[in-house]
Amino acid sequence: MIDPALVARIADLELVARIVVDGTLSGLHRSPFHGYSAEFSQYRHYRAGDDLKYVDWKLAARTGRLYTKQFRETTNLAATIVVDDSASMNFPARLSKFRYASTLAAALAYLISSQGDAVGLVAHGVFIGPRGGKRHLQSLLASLSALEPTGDFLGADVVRLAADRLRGRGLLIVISDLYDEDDRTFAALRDAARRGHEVAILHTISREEIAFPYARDLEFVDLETGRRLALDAAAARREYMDNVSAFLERCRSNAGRERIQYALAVTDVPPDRVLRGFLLARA
Amino acid sequence: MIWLVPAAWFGALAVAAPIVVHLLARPRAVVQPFPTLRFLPATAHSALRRHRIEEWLLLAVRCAIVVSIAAALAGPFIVTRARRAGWNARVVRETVDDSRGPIRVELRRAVAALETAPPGRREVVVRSAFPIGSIDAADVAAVPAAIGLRFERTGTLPSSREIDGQTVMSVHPELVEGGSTSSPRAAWLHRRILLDGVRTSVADTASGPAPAGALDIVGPPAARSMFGAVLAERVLTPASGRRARLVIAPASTSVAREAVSVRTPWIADAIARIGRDEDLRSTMRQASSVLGDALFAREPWHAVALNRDAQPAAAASADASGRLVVAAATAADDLATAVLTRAILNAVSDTEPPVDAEIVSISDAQLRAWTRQAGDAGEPGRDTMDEDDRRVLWTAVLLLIGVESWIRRRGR
Repeated sequence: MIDPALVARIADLELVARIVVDGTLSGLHRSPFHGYSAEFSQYRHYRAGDDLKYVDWKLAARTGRLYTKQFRETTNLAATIVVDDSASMNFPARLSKFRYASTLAAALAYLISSQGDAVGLVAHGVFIGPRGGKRHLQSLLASLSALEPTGDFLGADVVRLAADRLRGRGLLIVISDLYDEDDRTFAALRDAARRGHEVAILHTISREEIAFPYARDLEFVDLETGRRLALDAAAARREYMDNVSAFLERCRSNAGRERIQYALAVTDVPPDRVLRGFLLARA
Repeated sequence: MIWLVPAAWFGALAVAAPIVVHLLARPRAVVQPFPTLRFLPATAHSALRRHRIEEWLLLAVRCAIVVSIAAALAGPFIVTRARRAGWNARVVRETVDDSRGPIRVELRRAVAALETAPPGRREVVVRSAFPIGSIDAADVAAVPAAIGLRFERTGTLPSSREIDGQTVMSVHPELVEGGSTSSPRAAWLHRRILLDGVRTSVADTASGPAPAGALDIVGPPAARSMFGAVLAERVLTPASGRRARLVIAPASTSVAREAVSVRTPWIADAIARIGRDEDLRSTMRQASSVLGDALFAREPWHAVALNRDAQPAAAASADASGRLVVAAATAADDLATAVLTRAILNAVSDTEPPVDAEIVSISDAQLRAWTRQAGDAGEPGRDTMDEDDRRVLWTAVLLLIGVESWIRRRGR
């Protein structure tokens, strides 16, 4: 397990990605990401441990020997990672949701790229089309490092842009806190899903937002709008938590209804564990 | 609203004190940045917010206390309809007479006094014999229109005239004593007085011998009041060497004997000027006296005034000493005599007579024209108030102090 605080301290996003991916993949038997076509390449003799699924039983019947079919995967998986770089992600100060989301995005990009697939990055004002190769990955990670969480999250627009640019059917991974107006991001995701893209959400949220560990008079300042609200936190806690629970549940159920993969990424959970859970759910 | 001590409003600057205290001492809110406020219930008002509202309330009340104190010190006075009606119901009156000095000076003093009088309708009552020149239209116009004017005629016209506390003309007592011709100078100028338009003014204050008498009057003691009136009304400069004598005795043969043919140009001119005097002509037309001596109808006498029957009522000539001699049939206390006297004085003067110089008092008609009612009591001056409404504001201050302490106690 990787301490999230450690992740926050390492500036090199590629190194962080590698660490997270290493932690994630240990114990995973196979890639959770599938290409959409695999061409038959050749037979080879069956070796213990080979998946029986790939044994050509007809050939075995004809020849009396076991042969395993080998395929040549033509990697046409094109994945685009959408990272929410709005001001609301710049929370909490210790390890921000944005830093956490960047880590997850870097790890996913690294993972996808390292298995030869194309990966792209979309954020507010940033569009990197899905491509393969190490150089592209480095460029993508550099762009990711350069992002600063400011302004509003125009989730719906960004998702639509990403979905439009994905050729054929692609994988769209959205890493966001989904704080936008009227669930418009969700509507865009639903459209993307209906267009045949595979859509996944890593709903990034901090522990503070879930547990609301405040108990005194505070003046809350909205990170995106700057609006101020002075509250008795203790008095507000119950209603706040009810509201947040309802919001999370609504996100989960919306995703489920639209067959969008949904995973909650809480910032105090080691990112490799989150990623692992996410990948296991895909597998 | 009238502020009796407006300078006290500078005290309102002290309102800066509670504001500064508020800004320095207000509790700093602990600010908590948060991704979104959408899940926070806006109804859970913080004590801080409540406290802040209370702080603002407290500040407002404290500022109000300071402002109220300043306002109370500034002496507010609310002009209500009832108060205005009360002012209009009372008349503040100043009475002026010429016992203490010239009326026009006293009038100005009275107007100034009314400026500081308690609010009310204002009026000046002027009491005098009203000799011409004692007050004129300019003096009346100088009185603010809202101040009423009333004129009450009292006393008698003075027998002497003073300017700047010094007698400039007076009646010589010998005129009254004997009425004889032995006293050639009945009156004289104690100073040289110049006529300046309709006003008189002292041109030369150097003392010296009285100028030679311009006019002596031969007549009964009743001439005193008449001559006094004339002198009181008219101050003039007799030209040097021009002298005249008025004889109020139609049958006096001595006068007739003295008369000689007029050869001196100024006497001829004076006779013509007396004859042209409109006042004299109109006055004489009302008189019935006639110069009975036939001598007066011939040379060297010249009729200078005719009565209503076109008979000579006054005739003028010269005498052996180069003096203008006028004989009049009028009675000594007759207005016609006074008018004649004025005409003679004008004639021996080397300046034209002032337009409005009269030898009688200001007419009743003129006084009536100058009379006016007091206007409504206007906005009273600050110095004239005999009350104010400070009490209301002090009460408000006490109430505000109570509210302030209540808010403070509640906030603890």
